[in-house]
Amino acid sequence: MNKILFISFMMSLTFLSACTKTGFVEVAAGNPLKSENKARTGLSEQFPNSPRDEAFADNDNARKLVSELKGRYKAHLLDLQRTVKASGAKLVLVNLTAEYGSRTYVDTEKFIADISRENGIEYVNASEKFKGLAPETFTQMPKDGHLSKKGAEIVSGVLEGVLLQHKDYRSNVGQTNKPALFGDEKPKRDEILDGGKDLPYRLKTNAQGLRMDFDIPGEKTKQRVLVMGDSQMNCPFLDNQFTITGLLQAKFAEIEIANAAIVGYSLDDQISLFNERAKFMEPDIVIVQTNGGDVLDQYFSHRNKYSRVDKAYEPSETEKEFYPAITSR
Amino acid sequence: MVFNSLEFAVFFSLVFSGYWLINSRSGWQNALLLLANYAFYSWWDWRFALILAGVTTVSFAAGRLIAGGGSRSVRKTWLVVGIVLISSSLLVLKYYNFFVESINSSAKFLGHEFQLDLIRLLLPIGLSYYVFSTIGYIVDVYREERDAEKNPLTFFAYVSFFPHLLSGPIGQSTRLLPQFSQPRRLTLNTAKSAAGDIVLGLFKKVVVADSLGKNVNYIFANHGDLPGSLLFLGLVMFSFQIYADFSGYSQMAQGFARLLGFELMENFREPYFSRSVGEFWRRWHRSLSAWLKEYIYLPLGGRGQSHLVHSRNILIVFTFSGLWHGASWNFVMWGMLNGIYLLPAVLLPQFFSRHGAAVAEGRWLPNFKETAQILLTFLLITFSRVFFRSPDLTSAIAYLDRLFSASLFVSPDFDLSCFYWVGALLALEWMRRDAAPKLEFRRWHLVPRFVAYIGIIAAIAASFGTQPSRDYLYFKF
Repeated sequence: MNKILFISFMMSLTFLSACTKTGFVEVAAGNPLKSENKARTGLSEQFPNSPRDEAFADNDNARKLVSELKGRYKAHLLDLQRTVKASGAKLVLVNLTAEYGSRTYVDTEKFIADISRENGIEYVNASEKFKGLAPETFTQMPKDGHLSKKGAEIVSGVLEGVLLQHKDYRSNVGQTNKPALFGDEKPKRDEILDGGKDLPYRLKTNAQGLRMDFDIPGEKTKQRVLVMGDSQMNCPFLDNQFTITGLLQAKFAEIEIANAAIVGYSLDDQISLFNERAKFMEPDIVIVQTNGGDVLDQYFSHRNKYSRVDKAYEPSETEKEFYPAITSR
Repeated sequence: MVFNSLEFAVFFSLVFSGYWLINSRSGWQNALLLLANYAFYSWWDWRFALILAGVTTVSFAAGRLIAGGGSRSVRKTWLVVGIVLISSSLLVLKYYNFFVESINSSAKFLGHEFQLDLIRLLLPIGLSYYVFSTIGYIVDVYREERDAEKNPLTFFAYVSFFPHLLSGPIGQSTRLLPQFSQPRRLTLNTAKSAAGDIVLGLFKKVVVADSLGKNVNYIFANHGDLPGSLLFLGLVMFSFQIYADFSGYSQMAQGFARLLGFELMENFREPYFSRSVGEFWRRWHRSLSAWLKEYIYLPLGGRGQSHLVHSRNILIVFTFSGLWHGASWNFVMWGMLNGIYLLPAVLLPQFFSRHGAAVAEGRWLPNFKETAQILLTFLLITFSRVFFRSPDLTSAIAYLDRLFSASLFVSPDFDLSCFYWVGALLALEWMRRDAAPKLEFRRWHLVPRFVAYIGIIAAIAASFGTQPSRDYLYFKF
């Protein structure tokens, strides 16, 4: 029996040691809705990389690609506009760039501003407030490029103006058959995370899958603001009360502000999330954070990796032709 | 390569198998160990191995030269040369920038403009440990408490012995080194005892320390925004984290060493059941305390002829200990504070009794007086740790400022479930405390013992992968 005990122990030890290999480091969750679409997984494994700087190279392939992605972005934006309008809410598009110190996305951010203006979408450029500031003063740099408390305060100052401007706006469309979740976060989380960057923070979500400290009541008595976006709006590395939405909520007790931003989400994710879940919280104002990177995020490999829409994104001919340029970087 | 890693499991399996295949030939076993030790150390950075080899060569040569005869002054000269050469590696690699920063700050304060340049230096893990170990060896040779080791293979294998290389226990040449010249045996009982130590060590590190660690990191990183009550709990958590982390590592080191036929010093003896700070330091990091006592405190005169000399020696030793832990002023403050804690017992001995017997001797539980003494000792030690855990003195003071604010009495909104593991740790510690009656589960009947081990292993398995990988806290010292 003693020998069995000892052998069991040695086997357990080896097994446990092997388990350390599975140790993971979590930020605020990528796409929490894991796709089981095999075709998509296969494509994702075959084409793991997404374009960045190389999409703005001075050659025809790059120009052709960006033009195609811009077309896709525009179609999504107009779809989002229609979707939000149908819910009776007011759409505000907020540019919050992921680039501080470098300006790769000047062209695509100008494109977003232009198509917003052309199509009557309210557009606010929060990133302008960072002009002239050293990135270290408003981001977590050098450890990470996401906003620091100071950065979140600056952006919340911009959005404060937006909320004041629309403080009397109400949607007159009600929703029935409401789902339990309004957001994509795992509900009722209360965890300390650090993203492996030695920037520990506390992530709390409510019972409805939103990154906030309270649940949206069933009966609507206050103006409701839904905020969607990617990690820039989710604000990893900040406790809830120091996120952009947390700071706004502290300023506006008469408004319910819901943070439904998720790392890696882009416009088509916002549409999908809104239709399936978020619209049922009956928002009056829908703030969608975007930036020039969202245009590039329309690339098929990025969609296969991050999109909440459970489908396989096949590459177009242009995308296929361009892929070698990404892998050669 | 840390003990709780796949790499180490493979590494140890290979070493263990090869080592016992060449059983009864200690020379060959030492050769294999030496190879394994340097492979283990080079896994971090191959340059570390060069520094280790340099320090070992110097100490081996110094030992031989000291033992080589000659007058007392010649032997003393070789001792001083040896100490200077060995400690210079530590002084340069670990303390150079600290001294430069201190000089620059002083110069600035005094209005001088000159500033010395900082240098980016490689600081090998475990350097402080093997530097102390080798200095201890040459002093022992000088004092003729042991002969100089003649066989370089034996000596190199001893200094670099991988179970204790990174985080101690600091090797004692009079106790551990002789084991490298003796034949080794592995019995089933030894293996079982080693396995128990490894499992308990893993439990302390992976389950207790790591679950506390993420909360501690969060609280110390965000202390300016959190209530004093949570800061207090953060300090308590850190006290248990560092204990579980360090004693867990030491216990695993003991277990792995025992599987290779060696007996390391027990580095901890239930320190959190101490009834005074003095008793705590006799139970905490015992290999360091023993080293400091033997090579600093006693040469300074120990208790001396007066309370003042005794107090001075205690303060010097603890300040030195603080500096050994870290090259910054917060560690100096931590060391001094612990020294100050001991002064009342030195200056007013009539009010303090030395706790010789173990706590709750002959009883299952401590009495009221013992409980109060244990709590007070724990609080004093825990308070001092704000200087140990904070990145610098300014942060430590800011932490204390926030801690002792009105928010100290605010109920903290925080998940405190990690304290269940602390409770389990304390229960295990209480059962194995060095007093009768003992409940240590190694002596239980086979069935409940098996169940207990399965429970502990299940807790370890459940905890793996749930926390970001963390190194051992004491590696950096």
